[in-house]
Amino acid sequence: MKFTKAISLGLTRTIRSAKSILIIWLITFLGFALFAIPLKGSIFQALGNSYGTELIRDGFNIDFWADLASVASFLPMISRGGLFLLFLFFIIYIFLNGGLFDSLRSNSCSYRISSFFGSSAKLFGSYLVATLLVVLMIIFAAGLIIGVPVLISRVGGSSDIDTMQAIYKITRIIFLFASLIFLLVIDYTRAWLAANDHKRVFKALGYGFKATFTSFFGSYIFMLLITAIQILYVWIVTRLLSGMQPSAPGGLFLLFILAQVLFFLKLVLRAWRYGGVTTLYET
Amino acid sequence: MTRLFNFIILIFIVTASHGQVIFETPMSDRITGYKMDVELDPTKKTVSGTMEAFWVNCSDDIVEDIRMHMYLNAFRSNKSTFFTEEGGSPGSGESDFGWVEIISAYDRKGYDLTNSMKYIQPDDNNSDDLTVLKIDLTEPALPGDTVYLNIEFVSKLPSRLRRTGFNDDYFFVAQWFPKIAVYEPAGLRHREKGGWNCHQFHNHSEFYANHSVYEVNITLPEEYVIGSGGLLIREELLGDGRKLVEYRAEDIVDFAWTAWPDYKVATDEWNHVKIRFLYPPGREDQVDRQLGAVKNALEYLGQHVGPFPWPHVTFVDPPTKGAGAGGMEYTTIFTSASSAGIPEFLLLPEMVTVHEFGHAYFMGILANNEFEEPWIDEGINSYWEQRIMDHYWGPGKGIINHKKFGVSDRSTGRIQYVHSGDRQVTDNRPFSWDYAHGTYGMMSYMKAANWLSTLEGIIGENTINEVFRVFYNEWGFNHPDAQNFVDITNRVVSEMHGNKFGPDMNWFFEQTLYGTGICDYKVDGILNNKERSFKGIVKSDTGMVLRKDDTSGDTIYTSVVKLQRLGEVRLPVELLIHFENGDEITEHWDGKARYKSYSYERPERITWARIDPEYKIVMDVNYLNNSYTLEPDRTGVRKAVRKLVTMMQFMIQILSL
Repeated sequence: MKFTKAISLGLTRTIRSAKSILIIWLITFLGFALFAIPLKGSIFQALGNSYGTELIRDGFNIDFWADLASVASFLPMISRGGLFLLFLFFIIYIFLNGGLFDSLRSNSCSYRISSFFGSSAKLFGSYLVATLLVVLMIIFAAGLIIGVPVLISRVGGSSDIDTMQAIYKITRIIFLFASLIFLLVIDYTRAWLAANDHKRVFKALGYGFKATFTSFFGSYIFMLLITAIQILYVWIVTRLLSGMQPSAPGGLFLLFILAQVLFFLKLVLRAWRYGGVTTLYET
Repeated sequence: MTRLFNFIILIFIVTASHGQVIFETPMSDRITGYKMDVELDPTKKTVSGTMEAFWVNCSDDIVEDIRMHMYLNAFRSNKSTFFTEEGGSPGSGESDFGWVEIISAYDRKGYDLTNSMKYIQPDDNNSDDLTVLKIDLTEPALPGDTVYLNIEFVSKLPSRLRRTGFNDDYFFVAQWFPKIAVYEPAGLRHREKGGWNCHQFHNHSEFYANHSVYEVNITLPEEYVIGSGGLLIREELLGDGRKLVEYRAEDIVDFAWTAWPDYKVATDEWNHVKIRFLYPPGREDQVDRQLGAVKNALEYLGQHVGPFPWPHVTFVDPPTKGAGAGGMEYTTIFTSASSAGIPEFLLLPEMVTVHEFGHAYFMGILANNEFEEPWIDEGINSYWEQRIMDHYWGPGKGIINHKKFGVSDRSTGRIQYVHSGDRQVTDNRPFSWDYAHGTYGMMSYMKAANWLSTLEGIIGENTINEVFRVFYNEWGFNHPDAQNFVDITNRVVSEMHGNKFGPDMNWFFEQTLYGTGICDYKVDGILNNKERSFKGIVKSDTGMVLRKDDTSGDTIYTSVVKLQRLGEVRLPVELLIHFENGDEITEHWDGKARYKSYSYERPERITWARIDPEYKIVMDVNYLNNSYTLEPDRTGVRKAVRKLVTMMQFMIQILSL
């Protein structure tokens, strides 16, 4: 079976690319530390010697955060900074994906860091265009799959929000399954660009669509499985982290380590997907 | 007007149709009463029919006219006071507009009153506003007289539901008939001279009415499910596709009803009260939630304020197309607000239900003038809603009760006031439409609820419960005003606490109800100075010598806690001081001075100090400066920031495909 091969070989390629994944983790960690450290420092400064932190000792407290927001004028600025950071890392990840795809193609564990960044730089432009185009396609598909039925039902006279919600729920599920196709397209496109002429974005996209639908069953089953694993993983992580309420510095440090390990594993899962599609591309 | 007629009216009041009487002894004076026979035309969107009404002149005045509210005329044009204030329009098509028109009006003797009717605009002289009608009587009403009116009217419902109106085949019929205003005799609500209190319908305003008896016959298509604030007397199919529904209601301030073919009905009981719940298909998950909320409110208000007297209550969760009718109260019928699929931890539907039910007390029983003193019903009711929500759904979880985190109803109310940029624009005195800068909602609901919670923090829960019990007993089924509430508070506090808070509580109300200041107390700092023995040059037998510290004795610290009052509001506050050996001292500061220090000489140092350690002063605008510690605990902030950053890391990883 094609998809079992993609799973097993994808995993092997991922393990071989551990160094690349580590680089991505490190860059992410440093980038977000640049956000977290001033955020924490500013909050500490606003709190001064207040004992009010007792309010959040057992978890979320709306009075605490609302009062803090009213005295800490920097918080809106930092929130905007957080949004900018997310946008920045959206671009950075497109850049890093070039190196990751290139390293996943390699059969060696000794993939060089310089090669990683070299490939990232070489592929950045075409990856950026391809990713933005696929993002636009996904947005368009969302409008088509979710928006149009809701609109039609409204024009057709059904103004009841309960009916709307039912339509929205069903179309959202359909969209979720349909969006996997776009993930396959972008992954095939990136695999093609990494292996071929990196400047021919539209040809790569054409190949992405062709490869997706040529071997649709195997590719789709693989993507479905790997996405299900990722969703399950994120659900477990969310439950695990939200349930952790350490109150001692040691516990806090453990929370920090655990969160980063879990994030690293999430990167591994992503690389597994890329590795699997690269395997499918090469076979 | 003859005494004989009074007797006839009395018979009308006491002997209801088919002998059905709700209260053997009337709960109110029943100054007004209505007997209506109307028909709903779902095609024309009208309710038309006849109305026999009476008004008893309970004052010592000779009254020459009757004033009536014609609320639906607010929807007659975009130039009505309602829409002028709102800046909108009833709609574009003819069916969007709403109005009420009197076809004919006669008095008891059969005199035609239609030529004596005149629209007046007592609030703003807006001649396009036709919401107040003055009818000159053919004979003045002497003290004790009863005025009788026989009216034929048509009410056209507006299309865009703003509390009242229709959408397609959905009808919520409220403020729909010519309604006699309140004649306030001298003395009532501290009025110097008797007179009609009849305001126009404003955008930011609710209503004011006498407790009345209603007998209402409604004819409508038989497929409609109907609910009202009355007790169902009979329902009869007329055989021509219509049915006649007969209701009786006693001692309520308004009669509203709703009709929709698709309503589903759930019923329940709580002690003597039969509860009927109308809800749209698809919201079955709301049935237990909202019935439970009503029963909680019945129990809590019954225990802490006074009994719910009526044996019936109907409430409605309007469908989406009737959502504009949601969150409104008419004493024995009220509307909640929800939608399908609201998770159980999100308690907004329960909150709306509890709030709107609570209005049965705060303006249903204690029928204040909502035009002039909206804080009495909205503020007091919000205060009780917060207590009920946080009591039954868990402290700190009255709005969101998720197993991972909670948000209290009282906190959401507090935040809306303390973090509003307009919190000092005005006090609680303006009429509802006169609150400056759009502060009607924040001031009348949240500021009042906040200072009531603060009052509870100062005088205690038992005392404030007693205040409301007395308020209920003395002013139930009457028209209290702010001063009545203040007077009762002063009396009860004095009876229960003597002179502990001074001769009265006026100092509190002057700053909160009648003041615009904010409350903000701060612990400015802690100093711990080690007491030292003498060290210096002394003259001795051998000459000038240095005498060093005597370190053999116990170390003593002079510790000082420095406090500040940053806001204008001065309230008594508690101060909890914690020493390094675990000892704690509670001080009581009158909170009046701008600065205050507390000093101690002890072998232990102070480690932290907290003003209002139990967060009783809910209107304090900043809890964070209420305390000072030498050992700040940053765990919570670190934990929150780490979780936020991890969430962002995962999010960007997902977004980047």
